[in-house]
Amino acid sequence: MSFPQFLFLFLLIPVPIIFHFISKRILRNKDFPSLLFVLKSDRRLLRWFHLKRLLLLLLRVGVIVSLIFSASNLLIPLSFNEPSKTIILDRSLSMKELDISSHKADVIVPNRGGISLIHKALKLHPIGILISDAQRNGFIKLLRGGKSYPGIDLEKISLPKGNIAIKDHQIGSPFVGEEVDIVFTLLNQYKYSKTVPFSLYIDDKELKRKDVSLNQGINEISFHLSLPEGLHKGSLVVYDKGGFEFDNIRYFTLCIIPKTKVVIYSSMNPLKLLAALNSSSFQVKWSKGPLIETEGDIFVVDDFPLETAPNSIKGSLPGIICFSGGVKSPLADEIPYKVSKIANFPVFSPFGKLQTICNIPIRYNFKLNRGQTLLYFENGDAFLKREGNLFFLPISLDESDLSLHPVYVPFLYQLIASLLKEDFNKDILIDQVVVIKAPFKPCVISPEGKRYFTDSIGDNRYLFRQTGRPGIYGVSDGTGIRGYISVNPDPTEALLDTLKTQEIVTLFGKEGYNNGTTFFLLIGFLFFVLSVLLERK
Amino acid sequence: MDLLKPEVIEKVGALNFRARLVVEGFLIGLHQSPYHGFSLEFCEHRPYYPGDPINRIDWKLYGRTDRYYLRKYQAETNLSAYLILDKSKSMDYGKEITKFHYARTLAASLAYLLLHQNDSVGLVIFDNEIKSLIPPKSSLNHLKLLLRDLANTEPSQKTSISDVIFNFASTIKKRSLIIVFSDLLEDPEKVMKAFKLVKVRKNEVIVFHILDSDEMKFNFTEQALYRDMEDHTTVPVNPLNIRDLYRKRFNQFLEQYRSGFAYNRIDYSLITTDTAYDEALSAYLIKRKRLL
Repeated sequence: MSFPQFLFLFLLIPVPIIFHFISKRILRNKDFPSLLFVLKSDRRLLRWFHLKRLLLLLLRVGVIVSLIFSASNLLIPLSFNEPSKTIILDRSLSMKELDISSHKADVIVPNRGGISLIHKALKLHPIGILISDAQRNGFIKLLRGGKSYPGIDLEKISLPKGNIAIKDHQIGSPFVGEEVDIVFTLLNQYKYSKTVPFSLYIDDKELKRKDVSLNQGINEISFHLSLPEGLHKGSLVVYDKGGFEFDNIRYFTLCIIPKTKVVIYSSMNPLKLLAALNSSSFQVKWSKGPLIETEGDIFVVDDFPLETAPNSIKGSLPGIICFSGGVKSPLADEIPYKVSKIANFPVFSPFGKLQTICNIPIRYNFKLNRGQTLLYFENGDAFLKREGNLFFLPISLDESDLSLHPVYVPFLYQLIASLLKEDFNKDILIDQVVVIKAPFKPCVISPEGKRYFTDSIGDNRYLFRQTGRPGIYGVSDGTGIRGYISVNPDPTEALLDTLKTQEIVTLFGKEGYNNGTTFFLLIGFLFFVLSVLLERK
Repeated sequence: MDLLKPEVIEKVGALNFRARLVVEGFLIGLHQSPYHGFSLEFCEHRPYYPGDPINRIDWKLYGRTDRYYLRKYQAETNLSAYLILDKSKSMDYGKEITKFHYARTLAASLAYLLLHQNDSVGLVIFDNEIKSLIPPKSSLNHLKLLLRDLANTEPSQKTSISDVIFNFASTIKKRSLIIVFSDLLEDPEKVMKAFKLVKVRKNEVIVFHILDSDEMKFNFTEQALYRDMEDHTTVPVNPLNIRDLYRKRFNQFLEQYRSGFAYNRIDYSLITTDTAYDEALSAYLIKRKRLL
């Protein structure tokens, strides 16, 4: 009910009732001998005369009640179309960009998170229809405070009965000579297991195609690929016709790192490091020092002395510096140390996939103060910092609590891969702004082949904003593709369970109910016509 | 004959004057005396003489004797007639003249006429039962008694013609002429059964069905609470909506009586209260003459 102030009109209901009783008194009594004698033979007719007056009373009351309900915009458990001046169409990806705007005039299209646009539109056009799946983008603002918005007609559109969404992907260490593991996380929102075909495309070629049975809920499917070194782009396609289509494709980028020479500087034999890097992807050398920054592709200083300032390292080669001060066993040497766990990873950190690292209590005795913090301890101290080509850690990579954990090797590989990968290879979500770090002014080629220039923000960094469509964007230096950006939709939009009951009640008044203005107007008119016809009968 | 219109006659105060006025006025208007042949009793034959009315020739006797004889009736008869008047509340309807007043004047006129013909006349006044019964006598002094009883009667109560006629028929011992004045607002089937019994007992019956023209036409326009005059039940009615239905049902009701009385060879006259008395009387006499 949008306009309850009209309910005061209920005071008019006694009018026909009073008229009914007064009219009975106003009507003249007329003695007539034969009418009832004739009519008595038809008792139904006599009953009809009395019933007719009662029906007339009810119809007249009905006319008034209908008009009041119509004026107050009462919600009814029916759905029908109402003429409106404004259609507000949610064009977010979960609506799969239904291009109604190109066919209908007077359509206002708030894009993603466009609740502010809706408010502006409603100021201009107070009567409107909002077409949206009411996903979280901005609608929570509408709900907050339990406000109702007079004039907004929220039409419920049935969602699919189920949906299979590719929500995320993880790519294992992309080193040449090793199989790359790509793990996709899928959400089956059907109420049963469903077998659907998948296709994996790498560099626009279908590498694998298989049918996978997905249980209800979260599933993972993995692919093991042997790829040549260099940049690659790919996508996974699921053929789910019953659900949303926008989440049926997941785009990703790959950079297979060539065989890498790693030089480890350590006073003690770094047995664990050597074991971890003993694969065909690496050529490892142990040196007791001193540090020579021109040797190898990457270096690891495992026991950088605590008293030595790291400023002495120039950073011409990528490297990992561990400030353990040569202490291999903090317990044994009785050096004071702190114990903490890694805080929750930022979602978009390159280490975000290594969530299990959060559960390890790690002892450390150095406070990092150089570079940009990528990972924190729970107590606020930095666990991992980066400055240019250098990573800084407050623990030894060879002798620490981390090196005893299964996540040790993936974490180490991720560190090395992060140092060696091109900076402008990105996996982002739709509408995110990309910062490309490159020695040249890049231009970006959209999936449709359109070229976009980037905006320089200094320090060889460039901004690219036009990431409104999902797909693979190419980063070009003018001569060729130097990297890829994969743009995927927000996985939260794939959730079918969009609104809580309270939210539905707040938005729609009552679930399954609809605006009754026209309905009650028609009912009132019908009652009026019936009362006129009945009176004449 | 305008003098014999009901509205004119009703202006005359006393009932006996009204009856006299009706009958005398009626007789003046007739070219032929109703006294001749107004009898139920055959007397003798006499030879035909030129100038005698041909319709009184007894053709059967001519067939046997090959001579013309006229049927001769007894001018003074000992016919006993009962005037039966409905005084139910429904008879009290009418604008200028009610059905009851009309019926009462008509009954008084017939009493006057019959007594002056030396017939004996009795009077029965009823509603749902017999309220007053005066046995038939032929003396002219008897007229005063009849007229006084008629004058002192006013409509009241419900009607039950069938019961009254049924009970009355069983009490009549002598063959009689029974003249009924009523609006007959009762189930025709029940009423016909009662009259059938009267007829079976060799009585002659004449029924004056007296109605108001409103009842025939139902030309009202104003919406009102229509109240039954006998049981006082009401019904809100818009006459415009129900007129056709009413007329249809009322004509069916009249047709039931018409066909019922015709089937039982009972003389039936439908008279509305705006009919002049002489028309009612002459219609009656013409029918009566044809019966004889």
